[in-house]
Amino acid sequence: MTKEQRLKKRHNAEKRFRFYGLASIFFALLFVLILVHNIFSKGSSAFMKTAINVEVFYDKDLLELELGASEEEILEADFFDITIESLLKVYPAKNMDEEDALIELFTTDAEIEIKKAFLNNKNLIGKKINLEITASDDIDQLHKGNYPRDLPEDRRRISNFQLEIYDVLVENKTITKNFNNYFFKNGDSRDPEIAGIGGALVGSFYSILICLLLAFPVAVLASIYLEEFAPKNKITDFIEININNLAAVPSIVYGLLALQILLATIQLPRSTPLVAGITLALMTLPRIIIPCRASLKAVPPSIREGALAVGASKFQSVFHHVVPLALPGTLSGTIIGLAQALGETAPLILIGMVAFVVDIPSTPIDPSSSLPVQVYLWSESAERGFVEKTSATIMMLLSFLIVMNFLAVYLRQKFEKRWN
Amino acid sequence: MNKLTSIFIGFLLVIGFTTSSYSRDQIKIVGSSTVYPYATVVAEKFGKSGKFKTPVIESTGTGGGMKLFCAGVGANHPDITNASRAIKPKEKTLCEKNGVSEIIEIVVGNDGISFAHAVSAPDADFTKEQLWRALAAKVDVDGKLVENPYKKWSDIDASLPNKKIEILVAPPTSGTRDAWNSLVMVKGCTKTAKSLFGDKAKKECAKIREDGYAVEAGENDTLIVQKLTSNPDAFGFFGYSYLVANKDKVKASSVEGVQPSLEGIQDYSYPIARPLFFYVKKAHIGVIPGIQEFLKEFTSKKAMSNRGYLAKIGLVPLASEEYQITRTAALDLNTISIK
Amino acid sequence: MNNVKIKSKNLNVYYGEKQALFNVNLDLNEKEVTALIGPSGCGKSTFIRCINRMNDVIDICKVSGNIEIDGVEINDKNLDVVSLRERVGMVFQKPNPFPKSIYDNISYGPKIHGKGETKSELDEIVENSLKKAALWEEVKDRLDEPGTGLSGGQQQRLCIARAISVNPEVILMDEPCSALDPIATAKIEELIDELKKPTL
Repeated sequence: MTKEQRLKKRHNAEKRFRFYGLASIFFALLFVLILVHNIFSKGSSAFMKTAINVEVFYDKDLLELELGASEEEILEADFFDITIESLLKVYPAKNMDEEDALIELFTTDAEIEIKKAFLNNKNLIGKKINLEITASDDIDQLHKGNYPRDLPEDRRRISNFQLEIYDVLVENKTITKNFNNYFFKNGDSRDPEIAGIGGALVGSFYSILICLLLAFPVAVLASIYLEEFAPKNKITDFIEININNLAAVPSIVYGLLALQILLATIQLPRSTPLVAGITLALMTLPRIIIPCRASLKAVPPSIREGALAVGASKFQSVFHHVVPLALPGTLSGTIIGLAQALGETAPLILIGMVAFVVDIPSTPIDPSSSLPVQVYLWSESAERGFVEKTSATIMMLLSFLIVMNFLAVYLRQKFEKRWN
Repeated sequence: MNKLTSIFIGFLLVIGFTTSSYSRDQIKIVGSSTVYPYATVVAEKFGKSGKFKTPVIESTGTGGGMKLFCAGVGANHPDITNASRAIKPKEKTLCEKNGVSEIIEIVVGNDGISFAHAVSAPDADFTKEQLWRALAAKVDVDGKLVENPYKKWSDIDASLPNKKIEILVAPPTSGTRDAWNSLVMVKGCTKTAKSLFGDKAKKECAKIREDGYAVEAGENDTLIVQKLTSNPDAFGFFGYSYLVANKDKVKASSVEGVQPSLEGIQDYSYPIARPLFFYVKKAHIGVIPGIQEFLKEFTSKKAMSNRGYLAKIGLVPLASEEYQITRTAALDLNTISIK
Repeated sequence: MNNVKIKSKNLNVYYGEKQALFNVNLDLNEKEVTALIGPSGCGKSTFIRCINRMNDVIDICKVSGNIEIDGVEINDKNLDVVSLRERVGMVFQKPNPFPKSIYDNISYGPKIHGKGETKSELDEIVENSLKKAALWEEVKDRLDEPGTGLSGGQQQRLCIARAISVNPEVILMDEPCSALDPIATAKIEELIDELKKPTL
């Protein structure tokens, strides 16, 4: 082989390698795009909700309320009659069945919405007001174009009569799409139109907070001790190997552990962010210790020697010089560990977080769900409205993860100091 | 440093304190994923209407629910467990051993399993035996047990379509699969096969073929519906409520000439129907607030009757006589014998 | 003739199985610059690292024999190594300023030893140390800037200033000019000569 041929061969090898690299990046991006597209196209509509404009008349006699009624009196009052009256005014219904069909166009929470509007403005008694009442799940899906209307009537959940009303509403422009505040504010519900991730958000927040409070100090202290102070011998080697092994243990094992120890032995309450937080902290600990130790290791020994040489004690050299330098790496390791914990579902299934929780938890020992669990729960629900809710929750979860990962990168770059 | 340690210790103390004084003012329900959708709807209505917090419902499966339910009495144990079958003698023994001696049984309603395919496919009708022959691991041919030889529906019976057999089955952990096994696989199993299987007939009849004609789908019924829509040749089975919710996408084939319907499941004339239950721990009534009121709401006509809200989401209501028994049990807190 | 400051008797140093120093007996005098010369790997660094017990940091390193400073045995287990290093400063082969400001680099030593209680005292120590290290004129307007931003020669003088700041009796320098250009080297050699003069 001549020199030219050999050179050409070497260049070709490099070209091939570049091509393979590009191709694999292309494939990876393609799959990410397909995934993101799939989630976004299904989920983006969940951020809007369909509402129907209804004229509500707060009839004094039907409500049995006087002007200046107290808050308790209003809460006790029966808004059922005026709700039905107002909803029926939307379209002329001829008989009971048609009236039922008409009322079914609205959310089951219509009465509560009308009550709330009144609570916000107690002077409405005896007056008329136009309210945007949330439409039922079926109408919502129809209005968003997710429900086929060309099927024969007996295969549809929406009757011909309801379609007729819907068309009139669209023509009169009384049906509108608004921002879906329920999605962020409400807890879980069996009615997709009023179901939200509020409870799951709070639950996830508490879980991650407890996880952070437990895992961060323990992990940081453990890694500083192991890296800087502990003698290097068989015991510390053994501990190190075990930490690495623990980081690779499937998360469901931690769920089993929590089930046995936290729930069965210590008898902590099931389905609560407290237990979730402790479980996730156990799972996250080794995953924080490893990057922590790596960033401590990355601090050059000359810094330690410099400090020792001016007469700093070991403790001072570690805490004044080494830890501040390792902090950015430690923080970003922690955040990435927490991001993993945020998306974790498997251990939560075992400690009873896969539960239908309507009330938004106020403390970490109230039953609660969490974001990934909410995804799991909704993906199993039969109602079609939950399909978009599932994807929208995934979108929220993904955006939290992206924010956390960016934060980790930002912290690392912002506070990273250069050393020789 | 000292600050950090004291914060940490304080935090642990708070955890210890709050949990030691832990008591519950919220009903806890565990159990079957089949009953879950109905129980959640009742719980939500119950929470909105009254002075009580919304019950928390965990979907653990019937068996898992029983285990938790029977683990003991006290705030850390659930008050109610849902079940897609009646409590087993073994579970009763476990309950009794752990001091759960008084249990109230409530029959919620009936559930039918529909054998369905895409709307675009032609209507079909199967007998239980045909379904068993299509799904079983071993079948009898000419008086001998052989590995399932059928590749097309027409291989089983000339009247069936000349199409490849393709069935999505629920995983063995699901209550739906349990019910399918006992109502279809065991009942559809031929006498010849049963006698050939001998002692293990029940288990052997329910064994599902693993040669690719029956595909195991996940627990997720929504996913099965999606797969059926995209493949008109495939069949799958799932709870009646999924059929109701997705009737624009899938339709049921008749079994023994009967289409699944409310009335058919109610009087069991549709052959794949079963009752659903929940069980209440009597010792918790009066301790955990709202259990009695929850029972009242669940068994009210508003919820359970033919025009009730549970019927709307696919629960098949009880016939009126059975309804009376359930309602009385709920109001008078009649316990069942666990001996 | 000056008094003997450091006395090494039968000093042996081992790195694991390997012995690096064999029976070193050496007296070093006060107010003198003593230079150790030898081929690379002959144990110069190992020897001077014994004098402030920097070898403690290396796990596998074992020291036997005696080193006395002012007649006090420093290999004694009961001797506080922190106060020893306050008395015996060290400058390393590669400049290793802390990734902090120039001011903080110098003031760190005095601060942890409780010298310079007030800001003005500290300012004075910083200024004096930098002046002695012949760096003051170059950096007096940018004391807040990171020490790592200086040139190699400046960084090494900063490290010398850092060592001077705690007013040590002995300064050990481990090839301080090996990474520097001839001009910077000349400056530091000049500086070393200055430092041997008794302070007023």
